[in-house]
Amino acid sequence: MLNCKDVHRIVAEDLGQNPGFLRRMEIRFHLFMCVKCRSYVAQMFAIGESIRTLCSPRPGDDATADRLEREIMACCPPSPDQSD
Amino acid sequence: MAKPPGPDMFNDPGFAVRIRARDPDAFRAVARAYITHILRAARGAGLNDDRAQDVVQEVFKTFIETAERFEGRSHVRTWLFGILYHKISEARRGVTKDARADDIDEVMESRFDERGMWSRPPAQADHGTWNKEITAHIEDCMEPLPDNQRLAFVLREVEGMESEEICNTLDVTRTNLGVLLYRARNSLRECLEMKGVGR
Repeated sequence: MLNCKDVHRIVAEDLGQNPGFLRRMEIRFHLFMCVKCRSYVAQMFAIGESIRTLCSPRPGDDATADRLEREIMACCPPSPDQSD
Repeated sequence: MAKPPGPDMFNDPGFAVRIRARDPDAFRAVARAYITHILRAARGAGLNDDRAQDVVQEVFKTFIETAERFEGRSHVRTWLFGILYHKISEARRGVTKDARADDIDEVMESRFDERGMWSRPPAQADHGTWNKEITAHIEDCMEPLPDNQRLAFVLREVEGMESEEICNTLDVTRTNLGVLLYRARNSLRECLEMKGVGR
């Protein structure tokens, strides 16, 4: 049977990946019984959510991407002579 | 005439050939598809906006310069994020130090008793408050993380990459990736708790 230390490690190493069916059931059962691990897991999900918010699109990103694309394609033109 | 770029275009075996042949339409399709992804990952990895934009340019410059070496064995996205990882490491050299990287292992060890039960459990915070307050501190807490932890975390959480692709991008084993994610997530959680989030 999984203890809290096992659950915290599985969650922190592998959150978002798919553990096998039995392992998933073991984790669920543990979380059902353990309010401390439920808090830990909720905080782990919230941390993931916050980094998605931090990296979410910002106003002006489309214009920035267009400009970067023009600069990338202009400053690094493919050589017309690649025959060698 | 260029085919309209679609999600499967980059899996087409002919695509790697076009990249190696320095086909400008193929370069443009890659740039168009991945500039914003690289930009956001660079920000998530701790670069300010100006520096992140510079790094995007450097990533694509290197991509175009080394196009002849692109064999198509990995997805072009993996190739680009691999370049990004090296650029970020260069850009942040001297900013972070890896010496304390495994301190978090000791901290986490000290949170459990010999039966593997929490001896110092996570603070029982109201989830609504926790979620709201994290945003104000997450950037500060990301700052001291080593680059490989930060990027592993961003690639998993923001890009939603599978483990295998992250391992190829960062050139680490599956076990190493587990350690990187474990340390990143727990360091962030400890940092947020120390800042009094949810209290």
